[in-house]
Amino acid sequence: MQVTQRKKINRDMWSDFNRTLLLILGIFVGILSVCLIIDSFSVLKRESSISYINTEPASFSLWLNDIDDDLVEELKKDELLDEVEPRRMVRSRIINDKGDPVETYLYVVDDFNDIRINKFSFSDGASPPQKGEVLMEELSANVVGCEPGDNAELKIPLYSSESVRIKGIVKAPGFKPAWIEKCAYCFIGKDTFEEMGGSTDFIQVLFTVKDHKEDKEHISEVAYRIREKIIESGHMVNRCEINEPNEHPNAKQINALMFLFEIFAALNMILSGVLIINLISVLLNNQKKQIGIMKAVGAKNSSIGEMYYAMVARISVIALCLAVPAAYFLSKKIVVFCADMLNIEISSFTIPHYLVALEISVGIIIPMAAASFSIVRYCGKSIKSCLFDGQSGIGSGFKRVSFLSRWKNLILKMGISNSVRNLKKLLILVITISVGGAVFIISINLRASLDNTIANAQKRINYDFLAVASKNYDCEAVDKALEGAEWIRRKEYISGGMAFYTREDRIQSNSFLLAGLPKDADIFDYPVISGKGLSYNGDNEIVINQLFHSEHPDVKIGDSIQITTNKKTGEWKVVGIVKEIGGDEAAYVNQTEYNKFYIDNENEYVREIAFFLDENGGESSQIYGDIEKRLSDNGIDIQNTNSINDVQSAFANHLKLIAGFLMIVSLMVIVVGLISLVSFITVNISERAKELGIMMSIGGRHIDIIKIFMCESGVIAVLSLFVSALAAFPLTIYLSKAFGRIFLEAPLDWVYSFKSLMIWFVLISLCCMAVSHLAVKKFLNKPVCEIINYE
Amino acid sequence: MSEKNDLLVVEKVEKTYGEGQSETKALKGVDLSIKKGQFVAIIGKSGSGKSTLLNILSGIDKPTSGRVVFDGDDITGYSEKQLSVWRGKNIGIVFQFFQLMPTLTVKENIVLPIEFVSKYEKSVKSISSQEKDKKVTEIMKLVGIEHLENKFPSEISGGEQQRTAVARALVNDPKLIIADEPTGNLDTETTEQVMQLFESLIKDGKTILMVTHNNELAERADRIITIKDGNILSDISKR
Repeated sequence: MQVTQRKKINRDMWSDFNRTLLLILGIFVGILSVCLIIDSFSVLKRESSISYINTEPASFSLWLNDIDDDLVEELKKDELLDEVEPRRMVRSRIINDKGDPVETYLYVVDDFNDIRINKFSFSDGASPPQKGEVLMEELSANVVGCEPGDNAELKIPLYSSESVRIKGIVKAPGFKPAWIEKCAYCFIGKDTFEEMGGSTDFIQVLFTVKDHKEDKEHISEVAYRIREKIIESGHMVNRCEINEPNEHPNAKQINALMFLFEIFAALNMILSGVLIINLISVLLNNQKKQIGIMKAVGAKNSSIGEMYYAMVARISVIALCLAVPAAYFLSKKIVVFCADMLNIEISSFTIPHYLVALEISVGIIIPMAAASFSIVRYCGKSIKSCLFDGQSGIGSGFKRVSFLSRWKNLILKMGISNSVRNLKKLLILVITISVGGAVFIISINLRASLDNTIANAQKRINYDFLAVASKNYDCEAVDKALEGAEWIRRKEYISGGMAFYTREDRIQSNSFLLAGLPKDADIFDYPVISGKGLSYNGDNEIVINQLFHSEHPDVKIGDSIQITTNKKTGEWKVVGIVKEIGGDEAAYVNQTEYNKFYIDNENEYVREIAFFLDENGGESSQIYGDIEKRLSDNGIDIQNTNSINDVQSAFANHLKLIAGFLMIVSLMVIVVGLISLVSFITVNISERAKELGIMMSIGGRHIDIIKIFMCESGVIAVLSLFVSALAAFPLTIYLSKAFGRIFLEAPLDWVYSFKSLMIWFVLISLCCMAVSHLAVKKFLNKPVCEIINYE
Repeated sequence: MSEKNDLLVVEKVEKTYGEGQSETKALKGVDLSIKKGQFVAIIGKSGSGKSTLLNILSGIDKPTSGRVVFDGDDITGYSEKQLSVWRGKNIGIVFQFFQLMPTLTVKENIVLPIEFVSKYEKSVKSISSQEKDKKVTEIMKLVGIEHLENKFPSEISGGEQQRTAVARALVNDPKLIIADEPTGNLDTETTEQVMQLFESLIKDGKTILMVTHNNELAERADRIITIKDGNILSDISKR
């Protein structure tokens, strides 16, 4: 490109600074949204993995009846193992100074100075904890509402409660976020634990394998061999749990978020591309006459195209220089927010070089590729159409709306015909707004589908309050404890506990909840998605939930499976799969059959008590407290309680991050969509300044002229609404299903939110009309001769 | 039949717009030839077909039928790409509304065609920047705008803009200068200046084809072609 051509594009850029600024802004927003997602995605993905791997997560765990130092030393010598560390976990409760109990996973640590597996890092206060002191995980401290130096009451099931001091706060990225799980994680010394009466039975031993740490099959083989070795040495192994290699326990939340990042990055890229096509098309439309002149003086299409490519490249580079650092800065905020939410420790915000290169390429290639669409089109126009076709389409606009011929309102008729007089332009604008609209509607629909799924799930839970005992109790003792509690309308007793399924290769699965339900149980009513529900006819039937099925896809309806709990094994026939939202892996059987297989004492079968309360019984929290007190006073040790409010708040917490993300996406789309709209309408009106001047010169009132353009905008808004509503429909269904499978292992109960349509329509209509009004007004305040000669 | 010194030959050129009932014939079989060094004026009323003819002669528009032969080459079948190159090498166009690049200075507007043509014409490509500068300065002097070289179109008068447009048309030394109502937007004094400029160009051996409404101006040409309803009504050569 030669000097004069370079000068021309430079001056073209700066002679209409506002338009150039709008173009830079449009490309900036497009690149920003894509880079923001790429940056956040890459850092979160990497750091969630690194922060988890840095904790040296256990490859597998074995639960032993007892363990001695000799066995540990012997195991440490095994060439297949890297590290071996005995650690006991007890589900307990911590009660803060307000008296609120929080379910707590209490980890008993032998030596705080020599933690080699499932590590945590010290964050605040002091360490290691001495007798009567505990360390608390950072997010748990927020849930419990305490800080270093505070005292809290620690209740270990089946033992008395003791006051403990929070010595320090630790970061433990290997745990699920405490605020989502509504629980706490604490670390306690062996001495303190034993002093509180904690039993050393059933020790969990953590192992890391030496090689192939990411190969689950290898880990399974090693786990099985170590298990055999321990059994041969005369110890009993009760349970074996193999972890997904390098998979954070909160992987579902992270993966769901990452899925959304990926989808919306792709949608944003499309939206940005369409926006750029639109903006460049508007720019070139203004340069149409100049293109014609350049051709007339001998320029080839390629020479002209080269100039505009150079212009777009310059604008893109400016936008890129602004967008890349801005995206990095904003992504840091998003990453910190998500990391706090998801319990990820961020060690570095560095974006890999290849991704920066990708961002730069995307920032240049997308605008250039999108611009090609318009550049090729405009440079290919004949001189005649460039120089003399300024008023094209007026007649055709009227022809296209000939069905309105009986309308007497010429202003409305003109507005409508003007909007369809240049179908290509209309198409580009409608597509741009519609892509934005579709993304906006999808993001709102996804949020609504999640809410709907959760609401449906909640409707399936019928109890008001659930008390989980530390062990199975005699139901008569429970009845006696609750005698005289008039506000209890009804109660249901559920047997159960953590169980293990023995696979065909004789290896036990990870633990899941096995519940024995009484006939006609009303505690919940999960929908059957395959097979049938329990028939309670004594055929040893078992129903699994979709989470269990997803974890063990080899288990099919009709299979007989062996399930072990309480050291006893029963055989069950799978008859159905139910959809359980917000829970963990679980399976349900007939209570009578459960007791027959797993309970020695026929009377001792109450593990969970579901309460259905009288609506007029009084303040819920008082009732819950009273129930727990009555049970405790009668020697029934409660491990955990759950009210329907807790369930609802847990659901809501699981959604918070996703909802927040969807909100950010919606806002981003609104900004991109509106920029596109503003640029298009203002330039469109500028191009038709002559028409405005003519209307004024023949006596058109300002209000009537404004009405014509506003009516035109209204037509665009309505058309865009229809297109975006239609486009969003299949995408909502697809994304609801895909997202649900990642997040909940089950498709979402999708809904199409008409609220989103309304919001988008109102936003677009208001914006169209306001921009038209302001742009037309700008011209109407000028003398007619100036408007007619406006170029 | 074309003669040896014919620069432009038009044979049975027709141009039809629209289809069916809305069909309009703008040119109805025009035959015409223009010799090298002639100053030809085309006159006619609004809608007579003169601008259509001019557009076809300059390759801006294509005839529905018939052919246009320029310097022995039939340009009728040329693609847009070939026409661009052909125009750059052979034609200089002066528009009624000057059509200058608003963001380029007077000098840059004149240089622009050289830069475009240098990409495909070796003789232009080989011109050094000093020679290019010299050439532009000479042409600016010729049309009397050398003092305006750093001004933008919006900073100069209509007459000065039109002279700039003429200079731009001349800069690649075209065989034919086509001027569409070149004085249509100018006052009497400026019109006179432009006409004198054209006359001096003719003396230098250039060929000019000018469309005008103004009979007085047409009288100053060597030949006057009158168009009416898409046909040549008269063709009067004065020399």
